[in-house]
Amino acid sequence: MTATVCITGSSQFLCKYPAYSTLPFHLPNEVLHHILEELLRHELVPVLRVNKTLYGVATRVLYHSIINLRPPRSIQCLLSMSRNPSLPLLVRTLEIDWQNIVSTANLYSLLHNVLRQTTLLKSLLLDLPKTHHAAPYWILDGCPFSLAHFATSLPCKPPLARFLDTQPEIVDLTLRGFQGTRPSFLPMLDFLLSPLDPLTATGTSSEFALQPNSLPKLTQFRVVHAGPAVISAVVRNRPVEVVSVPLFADSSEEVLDAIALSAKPITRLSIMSFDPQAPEVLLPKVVERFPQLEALHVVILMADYSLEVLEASGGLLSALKSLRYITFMASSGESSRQLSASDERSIAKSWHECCPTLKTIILPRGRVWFEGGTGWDCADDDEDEL
Amino acid sequence: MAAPATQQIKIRCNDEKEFTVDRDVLERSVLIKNMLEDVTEQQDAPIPLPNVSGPVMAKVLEYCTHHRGEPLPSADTEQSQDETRKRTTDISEWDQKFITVDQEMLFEIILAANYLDIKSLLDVGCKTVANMIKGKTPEEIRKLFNIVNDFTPEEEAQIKKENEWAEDR
Repeated sequence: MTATVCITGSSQFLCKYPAYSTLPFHLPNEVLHHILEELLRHELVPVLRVNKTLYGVATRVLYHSIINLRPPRSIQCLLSMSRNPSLPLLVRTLEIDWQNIVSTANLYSLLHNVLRQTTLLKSLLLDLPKTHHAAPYWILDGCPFSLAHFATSLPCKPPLARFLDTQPEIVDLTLRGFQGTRPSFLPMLDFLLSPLDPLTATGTSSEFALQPNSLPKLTQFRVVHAGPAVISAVVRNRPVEVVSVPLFADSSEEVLDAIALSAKPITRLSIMSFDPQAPEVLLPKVVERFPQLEALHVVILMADYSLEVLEASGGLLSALKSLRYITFMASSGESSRQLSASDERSIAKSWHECCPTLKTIILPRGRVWFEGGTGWDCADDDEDEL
Repeated sequence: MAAPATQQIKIRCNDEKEFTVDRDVLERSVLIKNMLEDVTEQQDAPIPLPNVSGPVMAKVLEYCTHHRGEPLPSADTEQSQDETRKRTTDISEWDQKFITVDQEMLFEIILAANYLDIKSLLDVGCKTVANMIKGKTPEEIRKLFNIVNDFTPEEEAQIKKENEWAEDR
């Protein structure tokens, strides 16, 4: 009994040795693929060496997603792919997490060489080491792939914009790098920031500009360090619906204005706020600009929300007619009383009265509140405490 | 008031074995569900299933009867599972007992689930085979499934070297 084995585009190894089945069972390739997908990466390694049929299928599964690799293993994997040109063709997802290594030109050349062969790559994460030299944008030159998901720590400078101009299929974009100028906010937060690339420091954020017809399918956008100029350049007139941004004291309003430039209503918004004024200004600004939100997730890091402020916030939510999920993580302050579980139940109840579409509410204690048969409840209720 | 009678459907396997089964049980199979939707008039002729034998179909029907009424996976859930590359080898207690069969029957059930397009049964079968493979050396896997090694020692060494990067747990 023979299993059919398709080796088109498979490894060079199998091209040298035409595959034939030596399996005792007649399972088509897609079923073998399904079986091997159930295995973890290290569990696939012995399967590769069983026979040629299983090698063909296991190789496809193993090289499909190259993720969560420590730098030495990541480099070893790239070396294997550079030596066997049929392997990069199998890769659909590639994560390069080299943030904490010292890079060399040779290492980037190796990465560039492999990237130029990953014709069918759909998802790419590039977290590169912080550098005091020019960021290696050239590793993206001549890459044949058309990405759907892209995340990078490369600074938001013109070469990155030019690369994005060549990627019309991107639906999900994460920019973790700084824009041209270092944010002037809150110097005490330096520990949160990466050392600034001197090259990026000399630029201006306005240099990051996309062609008007670039990224026509972009629906999800996340930034970690970039400010309003980059957000505006990316979001303006594009169908962005899901956004994640940091908000800083000196630019929070501009950032929210930039998000509002989307061609579509924002339905999911995640905010990490470093703005000390957040309790007074954040929610009104969000509600005013994004009335069609379905999910709002907020983490407040530089301000405290008292019980009274949280209770009063419920009235604002009444303007959000589609809101189903809200997360609101904030400290209630050292000087004021910490929120108890019954305080949170009371807040959840009053927020739901103002915004009846709400399905789940996560408040500062991190509990998930939802409406159960007996009113607002949470998954890990401690009855004694309540 | 009496509940409406459940429609009964006849199927015929490749060994001429016939089964008469409640429609909702058979509709766990996307293949049969689509066939039934394409038929506008009541038909008495059994639906031929040329790729499934009677004994295997009996096992498949046992599974479908146990899981009747459960929601079928939608295209959305299938897509999200693909995206997360979900690798859970958990199998429910009933399914585990159900799938404890000899190796030949196991592979026949997997093939039938694939042909009939019963995703949850295919998952159970594939997870079972994956669990059999886990933790075994290449030689142990060959022995388990009676597979002939068609690699030379040099080829096997080359494959080991090429994929060392993946050995970390």
